Amino acid sequence: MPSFEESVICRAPPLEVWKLLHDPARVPEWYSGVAHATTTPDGAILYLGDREEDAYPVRIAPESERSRVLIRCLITDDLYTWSLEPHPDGCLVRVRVDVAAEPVDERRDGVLASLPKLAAAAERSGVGG
Amino acid sequence: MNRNPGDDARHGASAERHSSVKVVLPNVTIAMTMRNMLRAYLFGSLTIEIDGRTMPEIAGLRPRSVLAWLLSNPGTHARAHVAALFWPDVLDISARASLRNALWGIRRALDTVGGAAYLESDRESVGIADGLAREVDTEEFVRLAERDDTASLREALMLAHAPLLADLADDWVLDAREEFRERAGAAAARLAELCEQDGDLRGAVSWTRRAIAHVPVRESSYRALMQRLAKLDERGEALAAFERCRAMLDAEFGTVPSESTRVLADRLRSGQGSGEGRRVAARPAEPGRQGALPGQAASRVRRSRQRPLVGRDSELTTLSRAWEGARRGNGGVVLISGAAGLGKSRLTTELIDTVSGQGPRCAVGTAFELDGAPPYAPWGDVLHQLVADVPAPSRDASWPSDLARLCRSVEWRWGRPAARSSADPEQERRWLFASVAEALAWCSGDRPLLLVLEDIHLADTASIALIASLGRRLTELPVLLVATRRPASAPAKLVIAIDTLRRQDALVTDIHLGRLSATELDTVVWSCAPELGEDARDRAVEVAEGNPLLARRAALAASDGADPSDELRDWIRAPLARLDGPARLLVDAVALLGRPMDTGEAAALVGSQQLAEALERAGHEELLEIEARRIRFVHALVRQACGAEIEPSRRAWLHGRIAEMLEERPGRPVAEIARHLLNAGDWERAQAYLITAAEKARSLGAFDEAAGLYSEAASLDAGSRTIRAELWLALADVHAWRGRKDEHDTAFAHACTVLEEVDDSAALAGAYALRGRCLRTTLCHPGEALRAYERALHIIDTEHLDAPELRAIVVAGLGWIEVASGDLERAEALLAEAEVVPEAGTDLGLAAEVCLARAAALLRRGRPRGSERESEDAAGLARRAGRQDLACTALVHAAGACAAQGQFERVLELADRVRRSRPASGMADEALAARAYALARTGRCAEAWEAALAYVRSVASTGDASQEARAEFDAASVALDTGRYGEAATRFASALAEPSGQFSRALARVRLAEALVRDGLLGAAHRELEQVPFEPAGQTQLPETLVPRLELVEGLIAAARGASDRALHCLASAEAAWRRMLGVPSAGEPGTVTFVDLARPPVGGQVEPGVELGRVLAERAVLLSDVGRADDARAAAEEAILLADRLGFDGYRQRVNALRSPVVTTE
Repeated sequence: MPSFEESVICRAPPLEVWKLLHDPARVPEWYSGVAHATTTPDGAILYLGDREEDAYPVRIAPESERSRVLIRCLITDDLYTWSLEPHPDGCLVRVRVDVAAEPVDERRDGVLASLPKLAAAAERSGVGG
Repeated sequence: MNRNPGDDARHGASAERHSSVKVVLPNVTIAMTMRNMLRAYLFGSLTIEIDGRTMPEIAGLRPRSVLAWLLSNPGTHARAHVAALFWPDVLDISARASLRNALWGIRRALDTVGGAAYLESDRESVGIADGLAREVDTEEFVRLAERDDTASLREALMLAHAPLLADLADDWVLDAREEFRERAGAAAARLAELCEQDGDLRGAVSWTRRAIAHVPVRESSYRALMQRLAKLDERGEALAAFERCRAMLDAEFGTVPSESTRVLADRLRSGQGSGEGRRVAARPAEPGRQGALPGQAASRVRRSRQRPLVGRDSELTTLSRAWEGARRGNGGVVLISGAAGLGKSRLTTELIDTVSGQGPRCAVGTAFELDGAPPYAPWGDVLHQLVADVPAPSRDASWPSDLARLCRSVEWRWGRPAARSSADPEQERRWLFASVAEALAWCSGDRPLLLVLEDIHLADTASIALIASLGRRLTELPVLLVATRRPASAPAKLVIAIDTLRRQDALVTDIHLGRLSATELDTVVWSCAPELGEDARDRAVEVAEGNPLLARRAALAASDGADPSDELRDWIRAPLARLDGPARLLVDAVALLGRPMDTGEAAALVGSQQLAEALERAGHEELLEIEARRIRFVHALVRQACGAEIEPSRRAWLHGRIAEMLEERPGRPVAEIARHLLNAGDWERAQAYLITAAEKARSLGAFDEAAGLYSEAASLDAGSRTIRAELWLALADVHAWRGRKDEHDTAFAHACTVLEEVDDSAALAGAYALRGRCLRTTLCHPGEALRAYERALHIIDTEHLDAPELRAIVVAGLGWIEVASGDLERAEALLAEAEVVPEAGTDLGLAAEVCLARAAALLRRGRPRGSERESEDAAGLARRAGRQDLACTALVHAAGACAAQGQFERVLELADRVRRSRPASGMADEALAARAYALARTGRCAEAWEAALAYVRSVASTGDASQEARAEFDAASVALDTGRYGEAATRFASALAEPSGQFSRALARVRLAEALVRDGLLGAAHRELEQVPFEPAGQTQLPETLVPRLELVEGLIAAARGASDRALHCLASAEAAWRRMLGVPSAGEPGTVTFVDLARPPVGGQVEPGVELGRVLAERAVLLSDVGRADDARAAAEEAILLADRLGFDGYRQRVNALRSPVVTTE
């Protein structure tokens, strides 16, 4: 299975990034191409794009290791493994994507567009209120 | 290699197969039919011939055992019965699937020699065909023995030339082997009677001796031998037989011969023979050198080893004080720690001697100095002694049947056979631990109990877990458990167990033995070798370096003229050289046994008559000692030194002798037999015993030990490839129970490789089904489980396997996975498909599982009422299937469904039903947890806290750190919800300290932070929140509910720090999240949505967004009021109260009421 890794340094504590990764309502704030997200009755999170066909149910996969959040797309079976590390400037966010079906480049482009937005959203939360 | 008459019988039969209908062998005549004749030889290794052609070996030990059982039990048998007999620890349908596979292997093997017709089976039954001619040597033995004439009995005994099914070690085989040994003994005894009636006294004596050889512990055989020898006027021999009888009875049972045997011996001594002479009064025999009893020798041995306790006064005082506490009912555990030779055992012996006058009950167990020792070995030792000394408890008590699985004396002494094992070894372990606790309570009912466990650093992990589990219970009993250990060799499990005991306040004291001073050592040296000059004494003290054992050995060596500066091994060479045959045999055998040898075992090895003298000599040389009929080395270091002196070839021979001896002992310690067979180089038989030992360990929940035994069996260069595949699979299953995913994967991969090599599709499909179950349940990897089940299904379909049971298992498993985290429509279709498999229809256990899966699906669909009904149905089916564990699971599930409906009184009712069903089960703990939760939820705070503490206490008895941590988490949650913030913080921290805890660690951090902030510890609370991202959190832990909970705590911290804007921002964000979950975007429409973690109902697994929203609103109302926004505060308070009314939750009502009143008044 092809895979790639990307990372970004965020000027917010890991807790703020973690909250963004776990909160379906805030996915549109940072995930490129997602206009709306909602929790389905059976517990999956549905990412909805601008077009009707852009609907991707995902699950936060069981993970026994610390400091990692696994998000699997239930349609493509792509696995996003997010890991957070404290950094002198705030938090180092890494993501490894195991691509099951689609061209890798498309996924990478999506991730590269999302990472800065994730960092910015976390920074906003950190000073929110 | 020598061949015995039985071998001749087989080879003769084979050679003659084409030419005659009757084969005449030396002393044996067996009728043979040449056409369509199955001949089965069960004495020796299992051999089958069809019309003289030998059937190839059946692949797999279990199928071979099934065939042997069918041959031993003529007639047809219900498949369900046979399946349950051979696969007792799995679901009925799974057992039937395994049986189907085994029967397929048997039929295939029979077919290669044209005998497939002999295996008769249909959907419901199986057996060896009745209408076809067959000869089975065991049936022939019985038939001949029943004829009761001299010739037939001789022929019968020729057939029983070897142990039954020597290549198998299943429990039923070992029982049957014992039965045929008894039968052979009885046949020999009867033959002796017939010979005597015919006037053949020599023959009678010879057959009586044979009877004794078969059954050496029957006194009547010795008496018959004495009488017959007396008739031959061989009184010396007859009296020698009496001495053997007396020694045997003393060694085996600690008793003396019965009056009739003693009277006979007296007559023989007085020259009256066995005739009609005058009766004389019975009197005990004179204890001469030849006939000295082990007990009498023991007193001499003990006198010779009497030595003062030097330099340990304060330690003895500490021990005595702990004992006084225990006598008053405040027992516990005392550790005595110290390096080898510093006197740990000596100190415990002194304690026993000191307190013995107070009439306590004492028992001593020793951990084996043997790799791969059986699980719970030291406990088995202790319990055996206690059970022998205490009357049986009431028949109403169920725990003795659980205890009997660990200690067979319970069956022999108390008449309580072992309970049948369930499909859940975890649960078996809990029952076992609970039964040991009850046994200690029972045995200490009439007097205090002093237990000594020696060398627990060598103990198996299961024994150590048992010690930890008993801690809290011991503090309420008049029981003191003294355990000795070497700190340098303590395994990690022991360190954890000691920590657990400390947490439970069960560790009374930990005594560390230091080195003795030169003056104290001088006293030691003088006490054992007073004849030594001052220089020699000083030298002995110097080389001992503070170690009293070394000082003593150095003194003895110097007294022998040796150099005290030699190594211990050099010192023991001279005493070893002085030992004659039996004494040396005894010393060597005890050295290799790895544990104290009981006198019965020693008598079986060296001869009961030689035992007393052998023991006396070994005692005189200060090598062995005897205590309570257990022979052991004076010290482990001496044992090691003596063991190192044994030549390799003699070592292998000795291990073989020990294995033979143990095989014929009651109780048959299979793990030990395996170990000695391995060391003797008999790998084939060692493998069979290792497998039986591993199965026993697994059934007792001793997974580490089971894994070790299976690994060892699999790694042996023995057995067929199919057997190795079976072993790898069994190992994969055990690793799953241990939660070791990587090791499970590796073992499974090995199994698959072998099964693919042998091209066994049915076994391969079964292997994938097993993997699917492991991944779905114990390992909790639903994605991989799905793939494993799909692979199993693919193999079944593409290979067109006739495996309906397996298909039903796989389909039901797939259904469960879909229920837990997949497509509910597909889940229900799969469950329906599993139900319509006809072979599954009779399995109520599977029906109950399917029903429960459907209940879970309904809960996921948000239909808790339907889920409750299905759960109740599942409980009913499970009860009818005899699956009490599953019935409890279903009731707990029903409680979860009730909680989701807000019916907390019904939760309490269901929890009580579970608790009444079987107090020691894991589900009973779940019921306690549910009770605590429901009480807290309904505002019955004091009762809730009491229930939570009862839950923690109950789980503590499991000795399972991960479950204890979960109980701490649940109790902490109750504490937090009932306003015990300090208690909650302590318990959350305690739960988080255990890495393997089965709870959401991220949630625990959040709740710990909440407890801290409510207790005013803002900095600590903030630090806990910072840790949340570094804790694992997955879908089953409802991660989306974590964020608003976390934001509530952030809001509380900010408010406490005076950052009102930040606080309001956090609370607003939390409020919005809960509203989204409720599906109500604005205030005024509170819903009753409930989220349930299916993996953890109902405590900790239930989230009520309405309640959570109410909590946030209450906090927000307070904050708004504080910042002067009265209207907003009032609105928030009103909605919080509305939610409280609707959901029946009083947690914040009083606070908000108090807040609302002035607002309302102002208006």
